[in-house]
Amino acid sequence: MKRLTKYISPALFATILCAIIAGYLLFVPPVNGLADNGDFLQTLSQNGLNRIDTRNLSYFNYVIEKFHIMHFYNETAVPIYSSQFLFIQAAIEINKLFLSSQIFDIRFLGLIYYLFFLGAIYLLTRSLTAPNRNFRNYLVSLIVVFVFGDTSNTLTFNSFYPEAGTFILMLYCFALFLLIARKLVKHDRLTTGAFFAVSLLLIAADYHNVPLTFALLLMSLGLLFSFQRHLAWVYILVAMVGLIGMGGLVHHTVAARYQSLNKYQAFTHGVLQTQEPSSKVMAGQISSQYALMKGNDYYPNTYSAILPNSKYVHEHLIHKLNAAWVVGYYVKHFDQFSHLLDDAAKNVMQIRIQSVGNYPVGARRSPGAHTQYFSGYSLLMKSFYPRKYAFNLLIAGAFLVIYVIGMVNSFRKRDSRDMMKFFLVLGLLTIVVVLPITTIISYGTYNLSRNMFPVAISLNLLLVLLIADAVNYRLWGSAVQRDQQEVKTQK
Amino acid sequence: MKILKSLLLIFFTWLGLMFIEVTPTAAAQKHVLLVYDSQNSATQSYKKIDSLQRLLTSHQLSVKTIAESQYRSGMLRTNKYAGVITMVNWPQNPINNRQFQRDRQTFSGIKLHIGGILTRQEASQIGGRFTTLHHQQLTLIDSRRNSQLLPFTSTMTVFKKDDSKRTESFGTLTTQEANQRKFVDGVVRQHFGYLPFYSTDTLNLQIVSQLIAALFQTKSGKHQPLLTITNVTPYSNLKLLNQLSRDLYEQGIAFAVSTTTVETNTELSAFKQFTKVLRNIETRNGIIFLKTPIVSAYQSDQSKLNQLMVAELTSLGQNHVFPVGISTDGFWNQDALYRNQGLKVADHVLLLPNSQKKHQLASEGNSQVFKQSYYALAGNHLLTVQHQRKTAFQTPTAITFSMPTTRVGLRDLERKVSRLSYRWFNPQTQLTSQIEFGSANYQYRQGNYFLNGSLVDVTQAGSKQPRPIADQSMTGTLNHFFKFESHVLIILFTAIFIVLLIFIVIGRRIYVRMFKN
Repeated sequence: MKRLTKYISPALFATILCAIIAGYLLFVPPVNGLADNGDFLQTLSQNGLNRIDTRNLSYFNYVIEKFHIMHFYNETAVPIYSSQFLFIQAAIEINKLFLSSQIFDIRFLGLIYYLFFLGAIYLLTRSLTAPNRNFRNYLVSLIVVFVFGDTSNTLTFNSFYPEAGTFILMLYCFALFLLIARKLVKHDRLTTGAFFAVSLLLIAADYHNVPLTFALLLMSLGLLFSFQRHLAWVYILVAMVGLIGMGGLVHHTVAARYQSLNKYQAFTHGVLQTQEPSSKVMAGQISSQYALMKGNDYYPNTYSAILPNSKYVHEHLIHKLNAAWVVGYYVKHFDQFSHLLDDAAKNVMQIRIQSVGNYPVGARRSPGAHTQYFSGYSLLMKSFYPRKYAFNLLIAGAFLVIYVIGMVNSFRKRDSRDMMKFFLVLGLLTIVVVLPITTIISYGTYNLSRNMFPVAISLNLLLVLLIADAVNYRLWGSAVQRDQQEVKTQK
Repeated sequence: MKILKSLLLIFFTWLGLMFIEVTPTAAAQKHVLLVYDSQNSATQSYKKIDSLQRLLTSHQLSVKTIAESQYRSGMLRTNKYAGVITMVNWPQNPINNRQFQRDRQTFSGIKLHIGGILTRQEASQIGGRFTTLHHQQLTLIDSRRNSQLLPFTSTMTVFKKDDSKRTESFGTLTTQEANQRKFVDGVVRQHFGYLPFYSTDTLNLQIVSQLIAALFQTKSGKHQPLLTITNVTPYSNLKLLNQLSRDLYEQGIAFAVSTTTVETNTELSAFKQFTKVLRNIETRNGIIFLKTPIVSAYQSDQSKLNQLMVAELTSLGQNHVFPVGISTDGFWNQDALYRNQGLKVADHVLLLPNSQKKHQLASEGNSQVFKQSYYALAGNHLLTVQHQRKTAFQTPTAITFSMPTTRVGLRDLERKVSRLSYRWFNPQTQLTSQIEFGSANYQYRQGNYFLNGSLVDVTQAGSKQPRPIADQSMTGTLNHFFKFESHVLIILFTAIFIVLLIFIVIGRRIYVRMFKN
C-alpha cells in the first residue's frame, strides 16, 4: 500500500479515475453527449461546420456525431469570437489529421476537452491535497472525482455548448490560484501568468461569463499579497486592467449583438413574471398592454400576435427598456424580485441541460433519453440542495466568517500567501451571491439553469475546498508549517 | 284512395327535392390554373402573383398556382380546370416548357395571357391588329374616365382598338406623344383574353377585375368597398384606436378592424382593456376581423394551429368580442396547413397582401373559396388615381389603412378617408356572416351578434369572466417536502450561524481576559 502511494499521489489517483469514468462515457459506444437545441447553429457556422441532417428529428432528441466541414467561403460567419472556438479549431485540425477533411466527428472535440479536463482535475486535486499522501487526502481526491467527474459536467464535452469551456476554465482558475496560495509551485510568476491567461479565456468563453470578471478581479487583489516587489504589483495591475478590458470587449462585441433579445426576455421572463403585471409596468412610458407578452420569447416558436423583432416593438418597447429601468422596477417591487431570486436558486443545481437527449440515434433509445451513468452527485444536489436564495446567502456568510478568521490568523503569522485563500473564497462567493442578481436583471428567468452554471461550479469548488481544508486541519488559518511537519514525519 | 296515395307521393317527392336543393353544390366551384414563368424578385413579381391569387379568390375562383418549369404533362385537363392563366413576369428570359405549351394548345377552356411574349397563335386567337411599343410611358384610362400615369415600360405588346363586336375591350392606354396614339388594355374574345401587363395599382386592378368577370362569367355585382383598419394588435395604441372608432362613428362611416390577438395571458387586465376597446368598435357600427397570427416557424403539428385559433376565438368571445370573419395574408389560402387549420372556421375572409418576407408566395393545392372573400386594396394607392369617381367594385373589396401610431397619423388617416368619397359598405344592412369552431357558433346578422343562436349584448363585458388559474404544482407532495426541507435547512443554518457568532464573541472575550490576567 505504501509503495502504491509512493507512485500514485492523490492528484494522479483522481486523474486516473476521472480518465476512466469520463473516457467510458465519451468515447465507448454508445457515445454520450448533448443534443442540439438550436444553439449549435451559430457556433457551427462560425467554425466552418454544418449539419449533415437538418430534419427536425435530429434537434433536441438525439446527439449528432458527424458534421460536414465546409470547404468554401463561409458566408454565414459573423464577427463573433469566443475562446470556445480555440478548442473547436484544435479539434477540427486533429480530425483532419487523423480522420477526414470532409467529416468532423464530435468525439474529437470531446477528446480535446477531455485532455484539458484531466489536466484541470490533476491540478485541482494537487492544489487541494499536496503534499500529503495520507488516507484523508485520498478521500478528498475521491470526493473531487465524485463531484467534478459527474456526468452532468462531462456530457457537455461532446457538444458545442459553451458550458464545457466554462467548466474546465473555472477549474483551472481555481487550481492555479490555490497552487500559488499554497506555495506548491516553483515558478510563481509563470503560474500567475497562466492564471491570468486562463481568466481571460474564461471571460471570453461565453458572453454570459462577463459578470465573472468582477470575481476574478477580487481574486487578483489577493495576488498583490503574494508578491512583495513593486514591479510585480505593476504587472498584476496591468493584468487586472486586461481582465476589465476583456470583459468590456466581450460585452461590446458579442453581448451587444444579443442586446435586443436579452432586453426583451429580461422583460417578458423577468419583469412580467408576476400575477398581474399590467398596471405595474406603466412607468417609463411603457404601455400596460405589453403585459400580454408575459412569457414570450424573442424568437417565438410558431405563431405570435406581433413579431418581437419588428420595428414597432423595438420602437415602443425595447428602446425604452434598459438596465436602469429594470433595476428601478425591481426596487419598487422587491417581493417579486426576491421570488425571482428563489427561482434562480431553484435552478442552481440543475446543471444538466434537461431538454435535450444524451444518446445518438444509433443507440436505440427513446427520443430525448437521459443517461444515469455516474450522476450520483448531480442527482443528489438536484434533489436535496435547498431552493432558496437566502440559503446561498447564509452559506456565503458562513464561508466568509470561517475564512476571515483564517485570514486574520495568517496575517498574525505574517503568512501573506495564505491570506490569498480568503480572496479565492471571496471571489467564488461573489459569483454565488451576485450572479443570480445580474442574471435576473439582464436575462430574466430565461435559460435560468444554464445561466446559473458558474454558481453551481463555484459552490462545488467551495465545498471541496472546505472539506480539503478541514481534513488537513488548516481551516482556521495558516497550516503551512503543519503540512511540512507532516511531510517530515511521513519521510 | 289511389289519388290520395299519388298525391302524398308527389308531396313527399317534392319535399325531398327541396332538401336536395338546399344542400350546396360543390360542382359550382370553378378551378383555375395559374402558370407563371418566374417570381422575378428584381421587379417583385411575386407580389403580382399574390395579388392575382387573391383577386381570383374574391371572384369565387379556386386557383392553383404553379411555376412553368414545374409543369408536367397532363396537369392541365379540361375536366379539371375551367381556365388557365399564363403570367409572364420576366419576358427577357423566356421559359419554353413544351409540355405546357402543348397542353395549353389542346386545352379547350378559358385562356388568359398576362404580360409579354404573346405567341403568334395566341395573337391570332384574339384577332385584330397588335403592335409592340418600346420605351413608352402610358396613361391608363378606364371607362369612367379615371386615369393613372403608368411607370415607364421598356416593351409592351398592345392591341389596337377594334370596333367589331366580336371582341370586348377593357380600359384604354394612351401614349404621351404630341399626337396621342390609343390602344386597348385588356382584350377578350370568346374564351381568349389578353392583358399587356399586370400591376397591383388600383385602376389596373379594377380593369383586370372587369376582364376576369367577363371572361370567366363570374357572378360579379356591384360591391361597395369596406373601409378597413389593418395592422391592429393588442399592443397598438388603444387610445388612438378608440378615438378613431369614435370619430368614424360620428361621421357615420362604417368600418372594419383587422386585429391579431394573444393566445395566452388572457386573464390579465391588459387583455380586458384591449377587448373593451374592441367592444366599443362593435357598438360603433364597426366589425372585427380576426387577423391570423404571424408565422415565425413552420409547425408540422397540424392540430396546434387549430387549437390556437380556437383559443383566440374563445377568449375574444368570452369578452363579447365576436369576429365576423378571418383576415389573413394571401399565402394562408394557398397553403394546405394554414388553409385547413386556420381559415375554414369562417365564411367571410379578408385577404391581405403578404407581409412576411419569408412567406412571399405559397402555392400548394387549390385555394379555398369562401362565401365572400374581400380583396384588400391599400387606401394610399387609391389616392393617386385622378378624377376619382364613386365607383363600385366588381368583387368584395376592402380598402385598407394601417393603424396609425401617433395623433398626427390619426388626423392624416381621417383626412384621407374623407378624401376618398366612397359610399362605404355598411355591415349593419349588408352583412350576414358566421364563424363556426368546436361547439361554438358566432353569427352576425344586421348589426346583431349571436352566440350559438342567441342574441348577445355587446355593450356589456362578458359575464363568464375566466377565473385566474392557480399555479399548478408538478409533483405535489414531493415539492412540498423540498419546500419544507428548504425552510428547515435555512432555520437550522441560521441557528448554527448565530451560535457560531456567539461562540466567536465569547471566545474572543476569554482570549482577551487571558491577557488581562
